[in-house]
Amino acid sequence: MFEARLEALGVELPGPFPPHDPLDAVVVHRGTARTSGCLPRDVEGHFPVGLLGRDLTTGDGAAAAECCAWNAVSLLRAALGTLDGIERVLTVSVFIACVDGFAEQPQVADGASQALVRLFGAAGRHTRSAIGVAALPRKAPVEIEVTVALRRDG
Amino acid sequence: MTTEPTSPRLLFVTQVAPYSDGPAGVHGVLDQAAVGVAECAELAGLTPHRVDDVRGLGAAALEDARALALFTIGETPWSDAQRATIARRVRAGDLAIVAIHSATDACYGWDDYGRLVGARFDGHPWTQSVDVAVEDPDHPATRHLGASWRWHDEVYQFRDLRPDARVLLRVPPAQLDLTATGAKQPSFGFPLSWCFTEANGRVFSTSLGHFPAAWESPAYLRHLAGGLGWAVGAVE
Repeated sequence: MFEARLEALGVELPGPFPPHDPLDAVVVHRGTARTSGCLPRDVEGHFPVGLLGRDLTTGDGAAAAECCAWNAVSLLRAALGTLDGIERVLTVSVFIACVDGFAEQPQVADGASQALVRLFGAAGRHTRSAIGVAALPRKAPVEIEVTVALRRDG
Repeated sequence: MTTEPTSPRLLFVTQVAPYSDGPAGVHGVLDQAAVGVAECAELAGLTPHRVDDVRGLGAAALEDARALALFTIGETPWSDAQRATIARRVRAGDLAIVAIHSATDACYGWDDYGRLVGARFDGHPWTQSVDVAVEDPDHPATRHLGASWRWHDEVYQFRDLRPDARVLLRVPPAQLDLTATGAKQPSFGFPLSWCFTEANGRVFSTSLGHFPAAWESPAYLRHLAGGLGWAVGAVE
């Protein structure tokens, strides 16, 4: 059903872009699957760089967070074979590279959360932390981790 | 790591007109490239400064810079005075040039430019993975690569390679489809990276770096950092 929903949304998933050795893109363990941190890569692998509150607007950041979410979905799909093996999203951690004093982390992170709810519906609801940080890999503005519960019959 | 603001500057020129919004596709990677080039500059003791439009680059900034890194394409609008300053300062050994990826596909209206970057772009008939032959492993840009380096990129073809260019990386022709549209067989084969001295100055060129993965690759960034370090005389 989530595969059909993805198709209906018309989203072209980027990647998957797995991390370098010895990291795993996704760890599947005891009924859950957890991604590595996902940067906001487009289908060609490009991503914006810079800090929220200096180089990027909150809207730019939300768009980047949405892109991160599609990267996480792409990793999960590659690891699980199908998104239909997912029962629900559990939690999302969103890291936001920002200047001192920037306080709109929730609005940035909403870009990811809303994308996951669009795709998974009620099963896309999740707990979340939105965390401002000084720097992320390669100066990306946003990075997210996603943990999902897997269907027992999946 | 921070660099003292008084350290010499590296100017990173990323002017890609007319392709910034065009079909060449070079150039979504420029922001990521700027991150990598800034790291390489700091390793060489230089303060990076990005230049999106050379028309806004003042004479003093060009006169004071220690290195000029070019990730350009098309007719970069250098003024006659800027061209003269670059050529003079390179030949005096005061300004190093690092030509990155498409920089050889620029400035066709500047006759001397090809000599300053070492060759002219002559198409890229191939985009593929290759086992690059490390022709000269005794250089800071290649010492970490071993005899052969597996790499995926646009594979450029060149004309007018300087005879005195020290070729660092080259693609064995057997790895390329020489019947591909636009493919030629230049006498010097298919170099990807080289360096040379121009009077008292140094120039390093690498045609690699099209894809975002390059700018996250430690091997590529060491290649670039080694080339820049050599060009400014920080490493030999």
